[in-house]
Amino acid sequence: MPDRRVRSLRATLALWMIPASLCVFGSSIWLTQNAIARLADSAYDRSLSGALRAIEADLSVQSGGLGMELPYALFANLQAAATGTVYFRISTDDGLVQIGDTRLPDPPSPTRAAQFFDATYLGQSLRVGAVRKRLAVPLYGAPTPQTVLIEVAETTASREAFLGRIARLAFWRDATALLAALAVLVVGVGMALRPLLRLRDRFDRRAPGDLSPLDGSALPAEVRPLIDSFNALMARHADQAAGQKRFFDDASHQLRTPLSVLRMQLDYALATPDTAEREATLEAMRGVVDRTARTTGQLLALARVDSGAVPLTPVDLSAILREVAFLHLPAARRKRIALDLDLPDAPETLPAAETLLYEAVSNLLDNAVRLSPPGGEVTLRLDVRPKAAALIVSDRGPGMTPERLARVGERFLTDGEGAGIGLSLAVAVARMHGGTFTAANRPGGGLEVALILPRPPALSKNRHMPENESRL
Amino acid sequence: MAHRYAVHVWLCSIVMTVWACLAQAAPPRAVTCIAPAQPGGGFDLTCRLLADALNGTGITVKSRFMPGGVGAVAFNAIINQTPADPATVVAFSEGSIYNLSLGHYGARDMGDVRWLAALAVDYGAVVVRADAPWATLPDLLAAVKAEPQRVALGGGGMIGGQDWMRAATMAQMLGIDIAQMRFVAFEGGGGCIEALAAGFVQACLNDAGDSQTAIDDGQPLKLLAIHSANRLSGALAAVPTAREQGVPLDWPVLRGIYTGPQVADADVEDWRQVLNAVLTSPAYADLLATHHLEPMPLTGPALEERLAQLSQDARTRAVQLGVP
Repeated sequence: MPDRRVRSLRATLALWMIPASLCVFGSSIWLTQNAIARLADSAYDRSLSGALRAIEADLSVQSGGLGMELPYALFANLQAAATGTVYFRISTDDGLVQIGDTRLPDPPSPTRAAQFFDATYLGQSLRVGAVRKRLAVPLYGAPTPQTVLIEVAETTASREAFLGRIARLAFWRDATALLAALAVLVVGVGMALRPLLRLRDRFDRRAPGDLSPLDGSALPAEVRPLIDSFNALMARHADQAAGQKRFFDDASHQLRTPLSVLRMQLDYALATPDTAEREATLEAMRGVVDRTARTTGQLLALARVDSGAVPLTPVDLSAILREVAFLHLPAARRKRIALDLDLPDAPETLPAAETLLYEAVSNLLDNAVRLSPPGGEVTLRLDVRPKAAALIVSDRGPGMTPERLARVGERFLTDGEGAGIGLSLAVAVARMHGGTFTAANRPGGGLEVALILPRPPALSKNRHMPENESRL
Repeated sequence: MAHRYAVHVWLCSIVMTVWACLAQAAPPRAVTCIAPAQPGGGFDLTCRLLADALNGTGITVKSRFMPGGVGAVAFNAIINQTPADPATVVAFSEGSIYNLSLGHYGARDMGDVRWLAALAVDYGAVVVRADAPWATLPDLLAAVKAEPQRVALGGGGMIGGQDWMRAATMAQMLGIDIAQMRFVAFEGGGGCIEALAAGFVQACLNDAGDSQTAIDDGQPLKLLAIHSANRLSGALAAVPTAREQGVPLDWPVLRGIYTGPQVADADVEDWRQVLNAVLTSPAYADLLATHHLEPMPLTGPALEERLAQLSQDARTRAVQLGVP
């Protein structure tokens, strides 16, 4: 079934590789960014922490007020390092002392331990370090010592510029790696596909009737099974072609031989002066013509099966078997053969090509009668199973060699005695009905062949495809 | 002499020796003047002025620095710790009245201490480093307008305090967004001068007297403008007023002292008499001139009235500037 979604290997690879690569690429950049941001934060926070400690160490309450030394030299260093602005704020929890940039935001947590957080102040992004210190003695005789909040903040412009540089670096590094990987992939796929292109050239140059196997030794291991399958297919085609050729040789021989006999009999009849002799000869010619007509009928039936498009109509299988038995009863009697007809009580009706089915069963019975020894027995039996109906012919003839048995079921089987065409027709008819044809030697001598037709499970109820039809 | 008797009482309360009380000895009359800031600002100047003014009276004045909340800590300390000690006085300025009136001293009001006297009046000034790129007040304000984050203004008191109000009023005059203006709060003029020297702020909204005193002491500063109606005298005569430079904002700054709430009326009266005598003397006028200050001798009811007016002004200005 041709599929519109069939893509080239390159497109399939691209479809998987490009989004996957972009995902990997994106997460790699994101991870790098995060890791670097954390590292940068901890490095920058350390310098804020130094300033916090310096202010904290110089807070004094000896005067009775809150004295402090602001580390301006440290602030200047910070400003120079951060190429930004440094802010500080010192305030008591009672709100009386508010020094520095008094509108710096409060830290998110009420803890006394040093903490660092991002904030916005005067429209700028800040990194703020904060620490709280409980004074040793209360100021102005308050009942409890005040807690002083110390904050030092710096603008994050330089930190962000640094991160931006790292991000750009990471981006270009990853992008280069990605592009290189894709380029290698494209080249690699090209290299890998080259043997396939050479293979295509070999197919293109192949002669129409060339059924010889391909040499797959130079192809990649992944393609080798394909070549093996192809070679097996070629071998089957070659076998079949050979079988077909043998069959037609055989069939044409079977037609040419009676025609030569007829020609000789005709010459003899014309040449003989004896009227009685001429009549006997003509009488003998009738039998030859009958046999030739039967062979021709078989070949025509086979051709009709092969041409397909035979309409199936409901056929009573018991009726067919009965008619076929009657047809061959005289021949059987001549050889004192007991012809048994074993039919079920209920009629079994299947959709079938009646004429072809009749012809096929008739050929099988003809083979059985012809090959049975005089005084033997031949049985014609209808065996109705749950999913199939088997039309079985068994005899006490010579049976088949294992080699021939193995090839029963192939089209264009030949045996040089005319039985081949009958078997081939049975196989073709069985397949045409979606059924099978089997043959087996019987214990105690003889052959049993079966033409097995599928029974549609719910013919009258719905139009579903029969189960075993979909299998074929 | 009434004040001699008063000093005896102080002595009892300071040294707490029964012997001294009984002996009626003539001790050194020692007063502690608390400057509620770090050294070097207007409060420091006020205490030094008091010391110099009382120099001839036999009363010695020792300065003590009690920074914290621009006077808030000292204000609460005197109420909690020495409420009845007439030998402890605290320097105040108009900024203190502003903070008190606006609630920055906690749940306190004007009646929580006893106001002794106004010693002088100073004027708001704008001071920058001597090497600063701005020659005039408009230059500086233009720079603030252009880059509010880069040109930080400093001053005593917090946001909503008197120095901030002056900065905010000027900002309003020039169409600068007050919310964008960076104002760094310090304990007083001294803290701001320190930050100015370190380059942490670019201008201080200090007062003329203490700024010129710092310059006299050799600090590399320059005054861009003084917020007085007319030019001041002496060394400050060379500094143009803000008004001259197109910024019509006068900003007198009253300076004075107060004492604890439970100091006896008699002691307060003693103080008033001593100070009245001192503040109107010609020697005091000369003293003011050396400290680059103008006279404003106020005590008693006149002082109370003036302070009540300032308190009202503070609230009015706060409303005008949208201080919460």
